[in-house]
Amino acid sequence: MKELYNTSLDYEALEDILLYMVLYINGEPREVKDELNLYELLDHLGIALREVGLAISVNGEVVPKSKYTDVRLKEGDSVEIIHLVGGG
Amino acid sequence: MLDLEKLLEEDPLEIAGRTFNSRLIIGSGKFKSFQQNKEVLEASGAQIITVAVRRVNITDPNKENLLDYIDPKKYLILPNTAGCYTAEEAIKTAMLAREATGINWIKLEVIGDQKTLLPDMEETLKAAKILVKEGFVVLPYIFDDPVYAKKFEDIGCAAVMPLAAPIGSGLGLQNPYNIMFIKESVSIPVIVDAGIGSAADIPPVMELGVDAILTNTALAEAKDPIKMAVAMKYAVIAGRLSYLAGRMPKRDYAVPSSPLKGVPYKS
Repeated sequence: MKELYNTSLDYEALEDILLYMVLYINGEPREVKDELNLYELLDHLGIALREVGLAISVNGEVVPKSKYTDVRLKEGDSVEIIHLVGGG
Repeated sequence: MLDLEKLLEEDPLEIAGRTFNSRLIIGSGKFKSFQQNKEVLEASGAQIITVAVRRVNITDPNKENLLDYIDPKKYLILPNTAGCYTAEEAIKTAMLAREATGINWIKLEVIGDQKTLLPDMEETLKAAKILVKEGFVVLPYIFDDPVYAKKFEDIGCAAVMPLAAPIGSGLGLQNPYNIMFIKESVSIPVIVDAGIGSAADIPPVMELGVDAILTNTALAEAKDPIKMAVAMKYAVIAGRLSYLAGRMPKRDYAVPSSPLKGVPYKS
């Protein structure tokens, strides 16, 4: 019970709140570093940036590849990352 | 001597100002591998290949990619909106597709029923109107309805893609009259999409004067997809040339091909 009354700050949790944000990437919540731009997000996820074959939308708006370094993501943003696959 | 290459060059398929020497368009779904898909594409002679737009699997993003096998400089990559059930979904998907392909062509599909995968024509028309306004080259997948086909032409679609039979059914052309009527009612290209079961299904469709054929499952599910691709390449050519050549009239009774006079031993 003692820890319930422990008022000392949990720095780790605080750091988490300050430096990380939750994004919804392809419908799934993901914790990533705060203020990532799209270029950094792809890098973080290990997704190769293809000129032909890849597209991203943020909150329903498609972002052109020329703007990937300009668009900074915010807490709660919905990001769709799509590619082209086999289809008829 | 008639040169086949020359015949085909003289009769190109033209869609939205782009010309193609092949009137066969293939899909890229359900093949065993990207390598097989590539070989089928090469064997078919097709210059347009359809693709779908799907989420990247973010837990395993670096799987092989179709575009490592198919050169977008060599082929027209035509993205579809398969899997969309409303105009809104299809429009959003088309916007992503435009960014992903770098071109503004879209095979518009708005499905109305899961079991038959028949198009929802009302939603398709609604989406087509908006996409045309947004500057897309819109090729809608439609029911074989000549009245609706005309509406799609009137709002500025680049072609119409009526079905021969339901997607993936392989039933072949079910209603030649409707396809004939569509061909009469519009002046934009008519591409018969869906329902082709084998190369043999193609010439009767092409003979109606349609401009091109799109097929996927008949290739992917053939025992030998590459052989089927070759067969389809020539089936499309055979049907097209047969249409251009013009068929003889149909008669109820026989007419002899050999002279009636001078038959030996006949008194």
